[in-house]
Amino acid sequence: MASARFETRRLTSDAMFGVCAACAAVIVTLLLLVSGYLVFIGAGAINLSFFTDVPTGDVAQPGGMRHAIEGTLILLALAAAIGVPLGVASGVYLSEYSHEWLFASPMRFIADVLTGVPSIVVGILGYELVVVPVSRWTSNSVSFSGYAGAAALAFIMIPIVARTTEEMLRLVPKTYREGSLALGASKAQTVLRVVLPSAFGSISTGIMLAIARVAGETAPLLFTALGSRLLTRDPSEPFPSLTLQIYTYATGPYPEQKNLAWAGILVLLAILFVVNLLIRVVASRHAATRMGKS
Amino acid sequence: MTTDASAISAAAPSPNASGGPARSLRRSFRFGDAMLGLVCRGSAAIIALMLGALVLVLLTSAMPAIKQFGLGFLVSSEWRVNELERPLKDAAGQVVMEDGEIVMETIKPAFGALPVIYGTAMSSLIALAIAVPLSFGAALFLVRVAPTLRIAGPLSFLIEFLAAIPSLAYGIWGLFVLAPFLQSHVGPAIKATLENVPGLRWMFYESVTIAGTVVERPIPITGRDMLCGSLVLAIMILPIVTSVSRDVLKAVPRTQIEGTLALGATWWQSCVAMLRYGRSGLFGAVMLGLARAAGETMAITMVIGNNNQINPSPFAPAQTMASLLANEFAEASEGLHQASLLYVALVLLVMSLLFNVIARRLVVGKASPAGH
Amino acid sequence: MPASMTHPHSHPQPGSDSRSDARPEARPEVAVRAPSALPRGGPASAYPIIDAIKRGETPTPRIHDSVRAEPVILAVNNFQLWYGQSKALHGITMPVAKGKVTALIGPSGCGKSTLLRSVNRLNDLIEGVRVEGSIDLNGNSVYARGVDVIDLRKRLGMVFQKPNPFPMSIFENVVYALRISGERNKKALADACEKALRQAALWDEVKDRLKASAMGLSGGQQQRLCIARAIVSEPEVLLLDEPCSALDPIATLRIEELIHEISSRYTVLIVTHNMQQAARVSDYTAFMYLGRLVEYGRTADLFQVPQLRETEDYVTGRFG
Repeated sequence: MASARFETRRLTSDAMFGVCAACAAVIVTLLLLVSGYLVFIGAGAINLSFFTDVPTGDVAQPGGMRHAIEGTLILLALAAAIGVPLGVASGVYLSEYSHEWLFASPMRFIADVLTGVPSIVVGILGYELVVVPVSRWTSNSVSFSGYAGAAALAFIMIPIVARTTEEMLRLVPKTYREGSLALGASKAQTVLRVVLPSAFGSISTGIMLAIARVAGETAPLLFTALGSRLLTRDPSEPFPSLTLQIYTYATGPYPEQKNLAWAGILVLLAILFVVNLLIRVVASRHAATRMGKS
Repeated sequence: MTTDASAISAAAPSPNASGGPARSLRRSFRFGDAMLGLVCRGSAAIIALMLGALVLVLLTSAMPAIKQFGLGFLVSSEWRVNELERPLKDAAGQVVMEDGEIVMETIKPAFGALPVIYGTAMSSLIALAIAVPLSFGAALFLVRVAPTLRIAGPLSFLIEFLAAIPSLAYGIWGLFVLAPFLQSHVGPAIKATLENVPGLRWMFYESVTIAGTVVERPIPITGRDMLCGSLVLAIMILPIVTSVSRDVLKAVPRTQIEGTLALGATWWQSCVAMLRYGRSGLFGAVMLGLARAAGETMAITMVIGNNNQINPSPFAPAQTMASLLANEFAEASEGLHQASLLYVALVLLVMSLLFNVIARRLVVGKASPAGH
Repeated sequence: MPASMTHPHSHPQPGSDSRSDARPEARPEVAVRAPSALPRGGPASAYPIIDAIKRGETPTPRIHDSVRAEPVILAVNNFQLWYGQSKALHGITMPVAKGKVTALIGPSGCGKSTLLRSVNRLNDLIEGVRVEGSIDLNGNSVYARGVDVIDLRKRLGMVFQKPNPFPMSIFENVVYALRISGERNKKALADACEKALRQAALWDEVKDRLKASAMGLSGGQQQRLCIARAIVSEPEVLLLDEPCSALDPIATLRIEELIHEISSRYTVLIVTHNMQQAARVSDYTAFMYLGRLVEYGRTADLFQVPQLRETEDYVTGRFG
C-alpha cells in the first residue's frame, strides 16, 4: 500500500521533471524561433546600400538607412551626454551619501520607480515638456526635434545608470574608503581617486547596458524626434532614428520597405548582441580578476 | 631621515603648515568636497524632479478630461473623437420626423477608457497565464537541472540576451510571421473545431445593430487580434519572468532543499518546497512581468489590431492603453481628445508604477537579504 | 536603512571577535615571568579590578611612573565614546610617548581598535558615534570645534587589519597621500616613493615593477606597501590596527622587523591581540579591558613585573 503510494509519488516527480524540461525547451525553441526568423529574413534583406544610402522617395527602390543609423548614433550620444553624468553623480550620491538617509532613501525609491515608467509615457512627457514649449517659443507649428528625443532617452537612462552605479560602488570595499580617508584625503578625493576608479569597469558595463537598452527604444521617440527621411545632423530638426524608420517601414504598405525593416532589425539586433556579449566577457573577466586577488 | 626632508616637506605641503610639529588643526573650506556634494545632491534632486515633472505634467495636461469625466472615465466605453450627427429617435425607437425631414441630433465627442483598460488587462492576463507556468518550469530546470548538465551558462546568456531584444523586433516578428500564421492556420483550425461547441459561439460571431435590427455576423479572422497580441506579449515577458524567477529560486538556501530530500521527498516535492519558500519573490517576478506587459507599446501596437471596442472574442481586434497612445497621440488635436489621451497615460503610469513597486519590494526583499 | 547599517559593537573590529590568538597558545615565551606566588583569594575576589569593571565601574588605571617620564606626543584625556546607546570607551586617560612604540592589548571587544580609530577620528564615519573628553596631538586638540579632520589625518598614518592597497599601481599607491596634497613634481614624487618603499623594506622587491598593479603583490607585500603609503608623508604618529592579523607567520615576522626599524623614526601606536607581538615590537604596553585602561607601563615591566594580578594573568594567558 505504502509502496504503491510511493510509486505514484515517484511517477509524479518524473512527470514533473519532464514538464520542467519541456518548459525550458519550449522557451528556448520559441525564442530561437523568433530570433531565427529575424536573423534569416533580415540577412536576406541586407546589403551594402543599406548602410550607405539614404531614402530615395521611390517606394520600389527605397534606398538605405544610413540616415537612420547615423541618427540613432547621434541620439544615443546626446542622450548619454545628458544621462551618464547625471546618472553617475546620482549613483555616487545614493552610495556615498547614503548616511543622509532622509534624502537618499526616497531618492533610491524614486529611481527604482522611474525605471518602471512605460516608455510611451516618457515619450508623451518629452512631447509636453520639450516639444510643446519649444514650439511656443519659436512659434513653430510643432517643433519635433532630436534634442527632445535625446532628452526622452536620457530620462530612461538616468535611473538605470544611477542604480547600477550605486550598486557597483557598494561593492567597493569599505577599507578602500577608510584607507584613503586615513591618509588625509578629502571625501571628494576619496570618491574621485579611489572609489570611482576601482569601480570603473563595472560602472562602464552598466552604462553600456543602459545605452543598449535605450538604443532599441521606439516609443519615447514617436512624439519627440518623430523621425525623418533626411540625412540630417541638426538635432533641432525632426530627427531620424533606426527604430522609428523600421517602425514606419514595417507598418507601411510597401514590400520593399518591409524588407528594409527586416534588415534594420537585424542590424539593431547585431549591435545589441555584440554589446551584450562584450559586456558579459568583460564582466566575467572583471569578476575573475577580483576573485583571484581578494 | 633628514637627508631629503626638503623633498618631502615640499611634497607634502599642508595648508596649515607652520613648520614644526605643533601645527594647528584649523578647519579649512574644502572646495572639492563642497563641489562634489553639490553635484551629487543636485543630480539626485534631478531624479526627484523627473518624477515630479512626470506626474505634474500628465496631471495638468489631463486636467480638462479629469474635470469633464471624473472617475467615470475609467468605466465608460465610449470613444468618439469627432462630433456625430444622427437621426433623433423617440422613446419607441422611431425616427422623429418633422415637416417631412428627419430631425438630427448632435452627439458630442466622448471619451472613456474602459475598452483600453479591458484590452490592457485582458492581453496582460492571457500573456501571464501562458508565460508564468512556462517560466517557472524553465526556472526550476535552470536551477535544479541545468547546472549538472553544464548548460546553465549558455541558457542564461540566451535568456538574458532575449530579454534585451527591443520590443520593436518582437513586433515585427509578430506582424510578419505570427499574425499571418494565426490567420491562415491557427484561427481557422480553432474555428473549425470549436465553432459548433455550444456556448463558444461568442468567440467567432459578434452581434451588431444594422438599421435597427440585430444581426449576427462572423468575426473576420485577421491574425491581428487579441490572441496575437497576447501571444506576442507572452513571448516578450518570458525572458524577464524566467530570469527573475531563476534568481529567486537560486536564493533559496541549499539547506531547504537538502532538508526536504533528507526527509525522503521526491525531486518534484523538493521543487514544490522551493517554490513555496520563494513564493513572494516569484510573485514579484509575476508582477514584474505584468508591469512589462501592461506598459509594452510597440509590439502590441503592431499586432493587436487597434480597435477601441470591447469584444470578448480572442479573434477580435482590440486596443491597449499603450497602443491607443501610440496610435492617436500624434494626431490628436489639442483639447479634450488630447487631454483624454493624457488621462489614459496617467492611468497607465499609475498602474505600472504600482506593479513595479510591489514587484521590487517582493523580489529585492527576498533575493538580497542585505537589501541596501 | 543606511543608518541602521552600523552595528555598534561589531563595527570597529570586524572579524576580530571570533579570533582567539590572545588565548594560551599565544603565550609569550621570553618576556614573561613565571606565574608568581602573589597572594590569591577565591575565584570571586581574584580580580577585583575586572570585577569592578564588570559591575560597570571605571577604576583608576595603574599607570607606571616610567610612562609619565617620557615626552608626550599624544595625550588622551578622560576620553569616552558611545556607539549610539552603548558606551565603548570609559574615561581613558593615557599619554603616548613620543618616538616610541606603544602597544594596546586586551581581549576582543576591549575597545583598543576603537581607541586607535578615535585618534584620527575615523570613528566619525560611523553613524551615531559620540565622544567626550579630549585627545591632543602635539598639544592640538583633535576633537575641538573647528578642527579640520582631513588636516588631522594628513598628520597621522594608519595601517589596517587587512591590507587595503588601492586598485592602482604600486607607485600611485605610495604617493597617494602626496598627490591628494597637490604634489605634481615627478622628481619629488619618485624620490618620496623610493624613500618610503626603502623604509618599508619593499624597495628591492618592487623597484622594477612600480607601474604594476598593487593588487598583484602578496599579502605581506601589500601590507608593507600600506605601511610605505602611510609613512610617505612623514606622519607624526603611525597607527597600526592589528597589521598582521591577516598575514601568515613569515610575513608577520617581516612586518614586525619593519615596525622595529621604523620605530627609530616614527611614533607608533599599535593594536594587537597577539601578546608575543606586543612584547617583541613595543616599548610601552597598555592593557585594556571592556573599554577601560587597566595597566600601562614599559613593555618589559608589564610583561615581567606587572603591578596588577589581572595584567599578569592576562599576559600569561591564564585569563582573558
